[in-house]
Amino acid sequence: MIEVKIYKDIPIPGRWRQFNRQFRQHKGAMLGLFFLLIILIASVFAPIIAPYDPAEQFPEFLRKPPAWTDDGNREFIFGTDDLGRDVFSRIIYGSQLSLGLSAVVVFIAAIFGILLGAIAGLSRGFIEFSILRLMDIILAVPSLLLAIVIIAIIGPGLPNAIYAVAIVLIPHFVRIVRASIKEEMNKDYVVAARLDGANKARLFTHSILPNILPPLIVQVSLAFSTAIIDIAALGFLGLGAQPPNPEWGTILSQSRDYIQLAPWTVTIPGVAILITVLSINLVGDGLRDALDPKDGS
Amino acid sequence: MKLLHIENLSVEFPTHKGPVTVLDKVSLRMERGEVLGIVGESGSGKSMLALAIMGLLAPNASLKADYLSLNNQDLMKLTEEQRKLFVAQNASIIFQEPQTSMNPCFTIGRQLMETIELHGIRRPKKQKQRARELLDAVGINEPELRLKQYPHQLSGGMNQRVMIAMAIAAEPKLLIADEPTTALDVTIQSQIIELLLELNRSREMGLMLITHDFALMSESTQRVCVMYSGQIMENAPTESILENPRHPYSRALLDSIPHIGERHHMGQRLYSLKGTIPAIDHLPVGCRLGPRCPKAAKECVKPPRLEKIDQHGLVRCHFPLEKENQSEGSSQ
Amino acid sequence: MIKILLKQLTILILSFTGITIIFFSLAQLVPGDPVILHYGNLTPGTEQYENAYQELGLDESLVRQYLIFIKDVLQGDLGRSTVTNHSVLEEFFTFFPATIELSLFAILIALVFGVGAGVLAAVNKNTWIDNLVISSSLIGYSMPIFWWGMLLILLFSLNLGLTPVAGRISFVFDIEPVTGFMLIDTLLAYPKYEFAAFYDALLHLILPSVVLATVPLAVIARMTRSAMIEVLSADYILTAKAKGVSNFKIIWVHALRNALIPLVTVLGLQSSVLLTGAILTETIFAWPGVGKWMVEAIFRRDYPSIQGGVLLIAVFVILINATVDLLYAAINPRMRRPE
Ligand SMILES: Nc1ncnc2c1ncn2[C@@H]1O[C@H](COP(=O)(O)OP(=O)(O)O)[C@@H](O)[C@H]1O
Ligand SMILES: [Mg+2]
Repeated sequence: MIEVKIYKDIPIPGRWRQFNRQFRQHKGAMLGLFFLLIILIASVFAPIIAPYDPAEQFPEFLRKPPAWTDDGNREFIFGTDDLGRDVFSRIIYGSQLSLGLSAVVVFIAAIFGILLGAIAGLSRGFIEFSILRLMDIILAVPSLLLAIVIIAIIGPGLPNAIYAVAIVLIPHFVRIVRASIKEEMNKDYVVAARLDGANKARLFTHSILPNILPPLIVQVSLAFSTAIIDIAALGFLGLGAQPPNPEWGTILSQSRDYIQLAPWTVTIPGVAILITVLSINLVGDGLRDALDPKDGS
Repeated sequence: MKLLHIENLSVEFPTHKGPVTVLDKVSLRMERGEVLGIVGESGSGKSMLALAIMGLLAPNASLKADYLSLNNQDLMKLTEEQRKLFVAQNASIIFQEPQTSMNPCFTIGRQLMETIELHGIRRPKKQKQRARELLDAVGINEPELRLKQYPHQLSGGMNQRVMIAMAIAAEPKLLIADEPTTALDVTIQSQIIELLLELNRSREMGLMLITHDFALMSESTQRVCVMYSGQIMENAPTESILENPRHPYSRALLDSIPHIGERHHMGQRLYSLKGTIPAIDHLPVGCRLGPRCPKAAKECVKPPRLEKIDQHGLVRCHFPLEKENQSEGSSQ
Repeated sequence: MIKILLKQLTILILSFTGITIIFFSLAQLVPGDPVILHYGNLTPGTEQYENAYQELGLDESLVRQYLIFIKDVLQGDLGRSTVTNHSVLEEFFTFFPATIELSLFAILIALVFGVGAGVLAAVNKNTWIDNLVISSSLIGYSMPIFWWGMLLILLFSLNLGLTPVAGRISFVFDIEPVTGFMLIDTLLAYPKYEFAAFYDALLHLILPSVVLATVPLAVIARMTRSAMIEVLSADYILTAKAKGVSNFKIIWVHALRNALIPLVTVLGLQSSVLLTGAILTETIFAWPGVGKWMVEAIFRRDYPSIQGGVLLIAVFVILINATVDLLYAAINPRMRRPE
């Protein structure tokens, strides 16, 4: 119902330099990028940064509060959970899962989305129509519910959760790619290429893809934050990653029962999710403003 | 009895490169019922002047003036609220784009009646009656139908008529028309100007006609102010300016219209300006026209003042053109 | 208007056909004996089993089976829950009002505060108010609401003891479900408890609806802000100012009326977001709505309930979107034919 309308200009040379400058001026985006880099480093170097193994239990330190409280222990910065596992180490290892899994999800969704969108955009009639209807239907089912249903059919577990979330994210890519293609196809330089006898596939990779890249990049950032939240939500509902996996949502569902006894085991993983998603959204906002200056505020 | 009296009105906008002056010490007067023309290329500050008079400048703009009075009331002495009220009752404005000047979500009737209500008519029945009268006064037929329609359902010319109806609802003493015909078809343009002049005569309503089109001025105005880059360059009776523009810029503007003035029979332009109007944050030193002026000389790096020329008016130029300039024209 | 209506109707029918086809195909993918999946534990070979087998048309072609499925769906027969053996349709509609009540309240909160914050930010562009609204809406937009819910429970329910932890009403009140909407039912039970039950229900409703409202509120605030900024720079705002219309009326009538048009589209998209959120919120707050019911159905592998529930929710979302499109046409005079 809503056509995402991003980017209408015919590109001018030096766009990427202009983009770079615009993006750097966006304070929020730079802050988000900074946090995102930290999280990325944390996840890549998790074995070095995390003091303990995420599954290692210290039976003599059950539910130790974080280090900055009176009862805290310097050995466990963020305290320990009900099984005596170091919360900090679990969060660090959890970032591997959150970033890694959502990267996989977005990758799958983008590949299929672009493919379907390209088919829909370059074709007419029945094929285009049925792809679009299918996407509308996927969009009509609330995303998490759809993921849940897919999991209900293929069974709970991490890999299935990944497929489910990826499928849910596909329609947005399809819509953007199709809409951009339809718009680009009518522009002079594409018409010229067509008159030159370029075939459709070549037209797509050489003339169209570079020009629909900006909205795609923005969509990737949006999909990324949705993926992180949805994977965590599935973990929280017990339908995604299964304990003792240190996935953030799974940690939250485990610590739910101890919310009063050990509130830090609830607050800290949540803050981790929030900061990650917030950073991605900040970067996404910056990207959108920098790629489409007209929409900037 | 002055209708409008402005002394040294300046308007500044803050930008990240520092403040820019979009109006620089503009002074002008209008008598009751007078028709004053303001001409200048686009970007010369005509709209800013109109908005400044109406108190419609963006909140970040700063306005300074030695004196600014409308209908003998010193506006600078009023509070914000008082000023808003007073101006709304004594002056109206219509804009370039009639289609976007009216709220697309409300019917013509609702917008007209809102204006009427603001001027003291409370009973809806009377408001409607008055709305019909106003539509009639601006030459719109089928008022009953029009009142129920939305702006996008009317043509541009029709919308501009509605805007005029709305503007005269308050029986203002001054109507500012900011390029009222620029967005309209040529055939409609003269009708709208005719209407404005007719209202000016029948209601003793002063008219400030802003345009970048000298031709439009020539037949309708009594005085003309020529603006450039936020300054008044020449201010004189229309006749004198048409016959003998003293400022090279006025001359260039006149020369750019075909069929006005005898010199065009030669088929050549004496004064055409090179380049474009300078960016307001990159003004040349001295005379702002300097780099584009065919008569520019050394002295022009000093800012010229607006000076009186006998039997003509005010001109801002170190080297005003001579009165008898036909000979100059034929010699080239 | 009739054209738009027809268009919506076509979309509706197409979407419905599409959904049922997808669901029918999905049902083929579900592992296990379809008879048992549909009717619970029947022993193969018994008469009952054979009847069920016939009824599902399992001995016939897939197309036939689909037509039988469609016929059943159109007659409101979505099968029976394999756990409770109740009709799925009936069960859905016993839980549905709770979800609707929660969602309506949430969208109300989101609208009032979202539009308010957006307008304030736009009017005070580039001031601290604007920055506050922008940053809080960005945070709200990024919020994992299942965690947010727990956090609010920790603060307001456990630490401050202001709100109840879970459910729709304390069980000291015995409220007969007449409409299924607790706020209305408690009022209907007025003679019994006076307003006590109503307040209790309201108290139960507040925290979950705030949680559910968070993301839509953030989206609405952002959207309202940018729409208002655009509208406020339009010429007709200048016209209104010149006429002497009060600032208040310019902002809340002239400008907002125009800014609402793009907002309606956003609202339609939010219906899906809202129902997704409802699944999580209902789980956290033990709110007996369809979201919680669906999650439980999955854990119990109650396929008829899952299938029927999702089908109904999808139809519901499509209906809302169609309504929103009509609403859009209704509030946007430019959609009207020139006369
Ligand atoms: N908000 C603003 N900030 C800075 N400069 C502005 C602003 N608005 C207008 N200007 C400048 O004011 C000058 C006069 O504009 P305007 O009055 O619209 O010209 P005109 O109506 O004669 O075409 C222009 O050069 C424009 O760039
Ligand atoms: Mg202008």
